[in-house]
Amino acid sequence: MLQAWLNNITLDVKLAFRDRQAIFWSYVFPVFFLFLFASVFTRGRTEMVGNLLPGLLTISIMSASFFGMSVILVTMRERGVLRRYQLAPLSPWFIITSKLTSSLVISFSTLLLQLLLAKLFYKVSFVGNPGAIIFVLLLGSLTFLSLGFIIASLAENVKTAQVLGNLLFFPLMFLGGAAFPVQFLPSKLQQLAAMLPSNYLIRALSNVMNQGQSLLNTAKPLGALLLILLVAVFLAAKLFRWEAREPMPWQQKIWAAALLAVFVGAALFTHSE
Amino acid sequence: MNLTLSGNLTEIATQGTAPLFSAPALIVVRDLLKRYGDLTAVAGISFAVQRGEVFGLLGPNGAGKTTTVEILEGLRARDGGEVTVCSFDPATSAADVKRRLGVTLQATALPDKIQVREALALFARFYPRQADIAQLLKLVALEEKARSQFDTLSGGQQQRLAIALALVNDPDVVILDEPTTGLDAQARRELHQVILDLKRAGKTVLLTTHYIEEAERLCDRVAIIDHGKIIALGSPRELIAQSRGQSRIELRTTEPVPLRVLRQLPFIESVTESGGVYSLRSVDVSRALIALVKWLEVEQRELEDLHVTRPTLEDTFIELTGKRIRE
Repeated sequence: MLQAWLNNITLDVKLAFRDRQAIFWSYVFPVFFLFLFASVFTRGRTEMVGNLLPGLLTISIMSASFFGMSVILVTMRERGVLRRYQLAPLSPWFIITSKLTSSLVISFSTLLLQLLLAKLFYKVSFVGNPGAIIFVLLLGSLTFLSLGFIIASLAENVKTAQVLGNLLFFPLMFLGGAAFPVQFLPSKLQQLAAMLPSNYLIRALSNVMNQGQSLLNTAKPLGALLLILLVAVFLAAKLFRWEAREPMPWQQKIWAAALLAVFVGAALFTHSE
Repeated sequence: MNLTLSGNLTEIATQGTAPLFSAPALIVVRDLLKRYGDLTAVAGISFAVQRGEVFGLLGPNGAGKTTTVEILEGLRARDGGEVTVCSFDPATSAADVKRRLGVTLQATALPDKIQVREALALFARFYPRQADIAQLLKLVALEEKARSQFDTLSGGQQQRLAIALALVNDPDVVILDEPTTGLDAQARRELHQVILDLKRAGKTVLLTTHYIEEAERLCDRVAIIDHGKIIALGSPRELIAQSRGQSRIELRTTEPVPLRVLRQLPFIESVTESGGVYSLRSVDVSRALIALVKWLEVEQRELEDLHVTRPTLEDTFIELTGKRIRE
């Protein structure tokens, strides 16, 4: 089964590279975004490009998750590709883990490309430990991809998936500090911002990338991301649907509501500390 | 996969779990019940599919065919009755059933950019028992398309690929849900050939269709299903014989003949006329013909045209369900 799992992942990555649209959204667009950001916000001052990178990478991760993977998954479900998989003796975990992994491979390659170009064109130097940076990027990507998986399970069709994606993407981008520093927000909103997953990721990234801190000194945002990841993967498995025709059973809706409540509660609790 | 399965089958029968003293049916359905809210989709149907048989579920859209096969595949829960596939209950042993079953559904697809051979190789890996991909490609006549992407295939090719995918695990039972719906006549004929090849290879096939001639041509036995119930079950020949459907004699004469006179001829049950063509129904066509010809000669009437039509499965179907199946 491990061989089948690996085969499914490599094939998935291959298929993405055969699809022009996928290549555009995974590579062309993020690179364009890098240059746009760098020229608009910094006028080429390299030390500022370095400061932009945590937000920029977070935006890349979020769009790969909320617009990339979730839409692909809903399309697979709508067209009956998942149903074809369902006919084989496979569990939802097979789809969840292999899809998360293949999306992670593609998303991570996007991030590396952005980092490489930032280094080449803007001479950005990274003070942090490369291993630590990679770890944070992988953890962050997985967390948001899992959130994307939940969107895919909740959405009835591609349109609702896009709407849900936008509803998450823009608040997480603007409030989370990906588009501009959180300090620009009113203080009430800053408190909210500090609880957003995007803000945890940006903080973790600037900690290890720009300030050269160790992972241990980044434990709080990393722990928050890990918690969100675990909850999201669990929820993704609970909410998983092979086909679009059957409406979501009420048990699944209760699961979703209960976990969301636990999650918000936990976020509020850790924040008040 | 061994496509000349006669040898292989006896091998399977003598080893493993299948008891030698009886040949258990590979699919058993007893009093199956399924409701969607207020709608009863399957209202207590029973049938069994024997090893090596091609069994057809024939019925109009919405009759409950797809629901039935989806329950057999373990994709849907049932509300009542008993079901076993290869002696496993799909409700409790879905994985065991899926390992032994090959399925095509109406609403399945593959990723656009996947190649034919890639798809077959990938799905074969999901099973412990794997068929030979090259042989599968040959069976469904897709050898030349092995490296083509799914989105470049025609509807008929996609459907043949779906059948090949259903065979990647060298299944004991193949379930084909409306395999030819939406295909043109040529593609349908090609697919029929594939199914006949499966039959020749000794595969057990459960087929749903709303094409009567398809059931008649491919199936050893047919269950006619309507409103979630089986209303007739037997070989196409038996079903036709069972029906009150009679052979018809159709004739045209140079001059009109009074209907009353034709009705009085022996062995003729009823006579209708439309557009100068007389249609005579009879339970004993040969005797009726002799009587008719004798009468024509005595009366010195001249025939312009005469032919006999035998009842078809369609006649049986219309008689039983009161409707025609429309595409």
